[in-house]
Amino acid sequence: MNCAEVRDRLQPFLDGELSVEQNVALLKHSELCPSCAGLLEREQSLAALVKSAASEPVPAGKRRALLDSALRQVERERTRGRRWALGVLAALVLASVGLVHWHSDPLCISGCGTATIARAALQAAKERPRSIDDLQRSFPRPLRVPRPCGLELEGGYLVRMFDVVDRPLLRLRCKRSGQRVLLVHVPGGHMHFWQRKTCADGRCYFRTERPDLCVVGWEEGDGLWMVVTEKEVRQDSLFMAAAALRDAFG
Amino acid sequence: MSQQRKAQRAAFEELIDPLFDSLYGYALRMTGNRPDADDLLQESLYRAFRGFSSFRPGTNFKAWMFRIVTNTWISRTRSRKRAPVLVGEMEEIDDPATALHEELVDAETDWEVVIGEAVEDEVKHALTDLPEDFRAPLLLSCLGGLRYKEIAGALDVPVGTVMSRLFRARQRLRRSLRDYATERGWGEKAQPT
Repeated sequence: MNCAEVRDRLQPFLDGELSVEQNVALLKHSELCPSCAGLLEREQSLAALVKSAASEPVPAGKRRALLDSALRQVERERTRGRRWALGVLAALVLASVGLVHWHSDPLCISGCGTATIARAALQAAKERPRSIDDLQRSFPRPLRVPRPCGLELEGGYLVRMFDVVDRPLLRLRCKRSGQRVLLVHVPGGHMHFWQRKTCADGRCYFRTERPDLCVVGWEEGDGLWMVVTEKEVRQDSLFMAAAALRDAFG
Repeated sequence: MSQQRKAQRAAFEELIDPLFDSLYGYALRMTGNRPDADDLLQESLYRAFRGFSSFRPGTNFKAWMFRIVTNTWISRTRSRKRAPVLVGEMEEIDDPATALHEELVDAETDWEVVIGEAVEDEVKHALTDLPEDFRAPLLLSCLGGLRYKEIAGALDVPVGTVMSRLFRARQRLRRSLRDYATERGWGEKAQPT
């Protein structure tokens, strides 16, 4: 093998694409030719550099969360069998728990997903504001959502969620039933692909259905808004309420 | 969960564990940001585990996984109807004069210093700057250790195309690193006096 042949085959050699005979011939030549040996060394270190730079260490917690949610999702689908239409949706949504926010702001506790935040928000709403500070953060104007959506919302003031994360939330009340409805902002939060659902107003919402609570939300700017209710409400009602709230804040 | 399923899950986790960082790196370099990389990897893991029974033990699991991430990535970018990446600007390398010039500049560069000094961030930038058509085969080869045939299969292009894209990707990468080194005033061989 001469220099030109070696240079032509350098890359396939490093990628392990040459035959044994060709490998031997190439190595034999570069042993005697410092210039080709230099090239070989350069390409080898470049390949090593690319490999180490392109790889990205994933912290154990995140690794576990990614893997668990994907695997659980598959297992749920398998368990649900023929009721797949319902099953897939539920599994996808449930699998997202603990994952929606783990890459968001540093305040976010790992594994603190939509449902965790929603439940904590409800818990916080049951309590009275804890200090003068909280009262001063009261929402400056009463908020009415005058839409024929079954959920007529009014009032509400901003409180802080001490329990989980330091997130502002707006507490609202359904006029008719007295049911608590909360609006929570999750800075840096985002939806997962399987949660997206486009609604009549052309916006993309996500929703989470659990036995204990009902959540819909949307992405806006650099974060996620969630509307949370304690009991089951008609999904489209909640979507409409969410749209109304979004307009009120937008 | 049945015993069989538990065993299957354990087997999958054991195989995936040593690959995780490179798979995530691949997803991150291909998408360019973490939320998208998270989604991409998660969907890939989901697809992989769902189709795990079709994986034949003893065959190359790494290649199989990288192939799934690639397919997922392709279907996601397609579904977003992204404009195809133009590769025209790379054609200049085929020009013999340019090739000769490259070779001369390469010869004048002290690669030991350039590679020794290059920080990973710079390589990451250089990788992200590569057009997708070149980035994918390079990462599949360097990171995934896939054979040319496997890369060709994953990207659905002929083996010859894989080779030329790899060649160009590496050339472009060398050029970026060299420029970086020149900017900082090191990397040029000392002139004989």
